[in-house]
Amino acid sequence: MAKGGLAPPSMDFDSLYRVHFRYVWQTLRRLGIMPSDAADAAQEVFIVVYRKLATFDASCKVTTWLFAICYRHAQYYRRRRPRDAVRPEPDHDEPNAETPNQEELAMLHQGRERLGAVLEAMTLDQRAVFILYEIEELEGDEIARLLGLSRGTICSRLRAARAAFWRTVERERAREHSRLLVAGGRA
Amino acid sequence: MKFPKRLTSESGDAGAVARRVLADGGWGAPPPAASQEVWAGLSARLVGPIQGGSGSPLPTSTLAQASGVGLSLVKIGVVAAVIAGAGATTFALHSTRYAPQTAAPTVALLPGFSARPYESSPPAEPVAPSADTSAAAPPAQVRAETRALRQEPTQPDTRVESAAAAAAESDAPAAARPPAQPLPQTAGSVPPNTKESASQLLRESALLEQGRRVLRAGDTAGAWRTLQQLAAEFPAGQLVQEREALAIELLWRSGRRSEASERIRAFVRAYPNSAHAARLRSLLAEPAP
Repeated sequence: MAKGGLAPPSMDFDSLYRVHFRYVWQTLRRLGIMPSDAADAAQEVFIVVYRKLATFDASCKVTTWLFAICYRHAQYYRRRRPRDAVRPEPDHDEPNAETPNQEELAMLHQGRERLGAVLEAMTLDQRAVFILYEIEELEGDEIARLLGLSRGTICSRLRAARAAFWRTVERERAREHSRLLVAGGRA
Repeated sequence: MKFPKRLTSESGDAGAVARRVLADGGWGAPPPAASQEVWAGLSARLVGPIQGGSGSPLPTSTLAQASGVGLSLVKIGVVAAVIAGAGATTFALHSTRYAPQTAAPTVALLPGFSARPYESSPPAEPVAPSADTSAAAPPAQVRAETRALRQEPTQPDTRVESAAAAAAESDAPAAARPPAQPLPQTAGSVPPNTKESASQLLRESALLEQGRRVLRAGDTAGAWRTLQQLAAEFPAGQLVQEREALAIELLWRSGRRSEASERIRAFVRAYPNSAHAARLRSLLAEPAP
């Protein structure tokens, strides 16, 4: 069953904000908004939510609606941001050889495989489908309707996203393995 | 075309890895203060057109939720907007002040502040704008509107009635006093512990912020109009300190420093520990133009 409940018919803005702020923030981050831009992005999303709340179809899941708004903002964000301020879209034909930053290294050293790393290996369009299907657990047809795409396109993006997912998992495993070898050699 | 089984439903190692990665529910979670920060930004933007804007004003019921986080966000957001730049001390002061459980002392303070400056000394003689400050003074139409906006307190307080009456009966141009003068009208303030008052507070704070902004930009007439609007919309407003501080600064920047100085001293007597008091005192230290 998909996550995120139906909106009560009388849900008002501040209730929605209170309940779904975390979801919006997390979705924006998952869609590639940098931490330093997340507050501004969340504000923009809730401005849209405020303006459109009156026309929200209460038979839809609130989170699905919010996701669509976040996704549009992420698309805009990617177009608007200077190229050097946004991680380049990964080339999904090639393994992502980007060197992890200090935070990533620290987390790797804790032996933790991270959602952030796998999402960063995907394009924005792949991320959207991957999040909706694998994390939000929406049905494929529902995603196709939400994004206005054919089932074939959704399947194609999902395949590419999964390939990126496994490449990242393997890469991080390899990194962790070599780190352990180095650590063992020192010992 | 059939959609594949979800990764987390896969069996074996693949499924275990996918579940471990995708179940990382904490990844990308907002930091603790993010919700308040974003709400503060929204508060400043969603209040609606402040002066004849094209958007629709925020419905009074929309941003104010009387219970739980909703109201606290309103308070925090409003106060953050009102005193942006004034520092954490001010924030703490005001967030306490407008908390429902401390509303009673606040109400007790307002008439005291309103009356004290004008009890200890007679109402300042209205002074017609002098030639050198006429550019900063509001236009005649605005002055006339200001007179019309003045109201008697809905629940007259004997301590403030005379001051209010003195202000209302003055034949002098209203320009002699910025519209923050209706402070005595706060005697009938209602404790701000309702949904309605939270939204009203939001709107009031946005107007004050606008007044400060235009004054900082050198638009004294614009600041004047905003103060008038505040007096009209919030005759018993909750942000009395802020309104008076803005009025004083407006007087000061309009060159009416004698009057401003008198009101600064009254303000400091009433609120010696206010962050506004510190800032207003610093005005007194400025060299004369």
